[in-house]
Amino acid sequence: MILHWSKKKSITGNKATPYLRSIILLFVFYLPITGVSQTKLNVHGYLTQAFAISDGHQILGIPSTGTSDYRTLALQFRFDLDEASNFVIQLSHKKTGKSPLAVLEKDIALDWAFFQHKFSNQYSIKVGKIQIPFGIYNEVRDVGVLLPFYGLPYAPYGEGGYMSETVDGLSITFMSEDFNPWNFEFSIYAGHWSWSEWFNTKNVFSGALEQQVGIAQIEKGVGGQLVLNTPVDGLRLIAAGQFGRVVDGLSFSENGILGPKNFYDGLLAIDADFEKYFFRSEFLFLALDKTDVQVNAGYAQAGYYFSESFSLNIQGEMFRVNYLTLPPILSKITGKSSFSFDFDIDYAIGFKYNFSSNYTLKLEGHWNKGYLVEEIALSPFQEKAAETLYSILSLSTSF
Amino acid sequence: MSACVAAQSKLNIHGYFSQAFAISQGHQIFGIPEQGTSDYRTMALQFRYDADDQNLIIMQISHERMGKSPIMVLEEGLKLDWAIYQHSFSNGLSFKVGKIQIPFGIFNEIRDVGTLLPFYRVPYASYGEGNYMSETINGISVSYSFFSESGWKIDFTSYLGEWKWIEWAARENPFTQKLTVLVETPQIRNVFGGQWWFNTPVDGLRLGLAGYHGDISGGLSFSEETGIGKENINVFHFSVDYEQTDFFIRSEHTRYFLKENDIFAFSLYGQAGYNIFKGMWLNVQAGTYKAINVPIPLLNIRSDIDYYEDFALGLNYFFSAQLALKLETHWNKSLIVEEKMINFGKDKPFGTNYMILSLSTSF
Repeated sequence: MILHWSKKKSITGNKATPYLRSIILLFVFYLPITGVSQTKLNVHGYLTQAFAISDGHQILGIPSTGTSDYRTLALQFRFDLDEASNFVIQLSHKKTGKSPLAVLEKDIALDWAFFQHKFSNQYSIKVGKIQIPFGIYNEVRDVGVLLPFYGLPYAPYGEGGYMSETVDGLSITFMSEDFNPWNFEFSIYAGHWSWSEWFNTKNVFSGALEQQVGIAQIEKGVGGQLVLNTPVDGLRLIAAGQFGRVVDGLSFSENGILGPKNFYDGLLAIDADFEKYFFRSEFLFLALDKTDVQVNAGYAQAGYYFSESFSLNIQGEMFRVNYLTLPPILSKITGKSSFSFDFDIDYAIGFKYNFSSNYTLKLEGHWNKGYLVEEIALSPFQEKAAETLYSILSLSTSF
Repeated sequence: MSACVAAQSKLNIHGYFSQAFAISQGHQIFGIPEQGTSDYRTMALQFRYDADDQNLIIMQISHERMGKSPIMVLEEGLKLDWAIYQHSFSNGLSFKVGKIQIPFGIFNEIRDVGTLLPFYRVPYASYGEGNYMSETINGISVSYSFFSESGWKIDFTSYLGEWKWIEWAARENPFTQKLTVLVETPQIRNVFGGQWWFNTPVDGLRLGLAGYHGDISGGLSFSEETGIGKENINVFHFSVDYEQTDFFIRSEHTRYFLKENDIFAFSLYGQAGYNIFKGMWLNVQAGTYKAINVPIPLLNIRSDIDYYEDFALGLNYFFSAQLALKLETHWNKSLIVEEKMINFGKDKPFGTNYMILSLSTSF
């Protein structure tokens, strides 16, 4: 089914009216000053503003001319219905420079909206548009003061692609301290979510760059996560997995290169956060049913706290695609049916200065090699990966 | 500090949220596919600022997801529902200006408040889904209550302004047989309307009379190229609302007149609910929508169209006044199924069953 919106409504994204945006942003600054008159309502906000520049290629929306159109903002309303139940809404605003995915961004979006009920200290349920518990960072993506770098590691969190922040559905969480000094938290969830995709291709007649953006839908998605808190203070281990059917978008539509597919993925993580240093690493494996296509993605991150205020952070990540089906014409030429390649390799170093617990300045540099570049059509089947350097200076605050 | 404290007490924030899982059998309807969907949700966040006893500013933003409904192409992630300035005079007269709720029937002003609705959505007959009735008008309204001290209190509101409808239609490409869904928004301008509520001496019983007149153009049905052209629309709406502690009975009837093309339509629904035991309600609803003398250009005829019939049964459990779980099932025969092209004048209404399980909360 093809949808046509025949007015001049752009597929370049729906935007809230300008005065809605102004009113929402006004409340970001108004509410912490004046508060609200209801004692059961809590309002929190997170804002990160950045300037970013790359050295040649455009990557993650960062052009070589630089951009300050790089920002995340979240406003969270939490209402405690009673001691056991609460209702949470988070609105967000995100700008990613010249990213192809910017067409999908709404000026103000609904991040989450859910009802939570705690049956006991151990069991709780969430219903609505809820955060997906998946890995170390998926539930704290917007909280700049907590993150070592401006953004999450692309491997495995992507930029909305192949990983979603939320699920429309429900989750059940069970926590146990029965195995003291070990304790664990187990969550399962089910529902619907989506992935963002974008590709650059060349017009076969004119050679002009054509950028395609799509949204794949995950239907009947199911997932779970186990967080194991060890007896070592600050050390925890995480295992997570998902299963679902992915349809539509660019790759998974009936006419797409892969077509509708069942997928499953698994993630392992270690999170060690100590007084003077931290170390984190995550590894994701993703596979598509009835194909050989696999994704292996992972990163390692470490940081040293010189003082309470100042830390040095480093990170290395890799995103590898295995056994991707070759187009028929290339398959004929090469004699191979599939192809494996490193989609993204990134090394980063960054400095983080905390003026206070909710006011942080970060400066980071990245060396990247891969196919994430956005101003050209780079084919992994025929062309070498592009190398790019980019830097981000950002200020994060929260209340 | 005193200014901050004063400001703090004048701002109130309220929220309404409903999350559902819905599944259909037979056809896709209201965005509900046969494989089911949890992409079904309404959320509203209301900011109310009482500047003083007489002046009030309200802003409500909302978010709605309707599964695979064609009208999702128009859905903003978040949209401005209302933005109202209200002034009340000391004699009881008040006016609102801005993007204001249209006073029309029992439910039009509380569409988003899941904890107040017997079913997930308001009755399609009379309220539509973005079509044939709008939640808001860009304009001004004036309200006054008569005979407030007597047993027959009358609440009257009159309004002026304009709004939009949403229309969609599925068309089949004759060469590829692929379905294309067209979505358009006819405009209704120069609207003048009003709502009377007669609160009777019988406790819980009120009678409503509403209506509006306007000029409608554009969209799929009212454009010169693809439809019947500009029209003059008159709508009349009658409501009976009887509510007691343990039961309620409601019914509404709407009549539409399109003068230039001599087209008439009417809708009717009835709804009843009974409190089986504390917190648990059993609700039933039946509705119908019929259009008379509709031109069918492809067949060069005019025809009466049985557009919509729906019978629903639902169970609601209220954990508290602010939290409700609803399970409802609908038996529907209509021409609003979404996965096929409808040939008006030839196709009979399609039978669909659908169920919705939803959780509604408010603060």
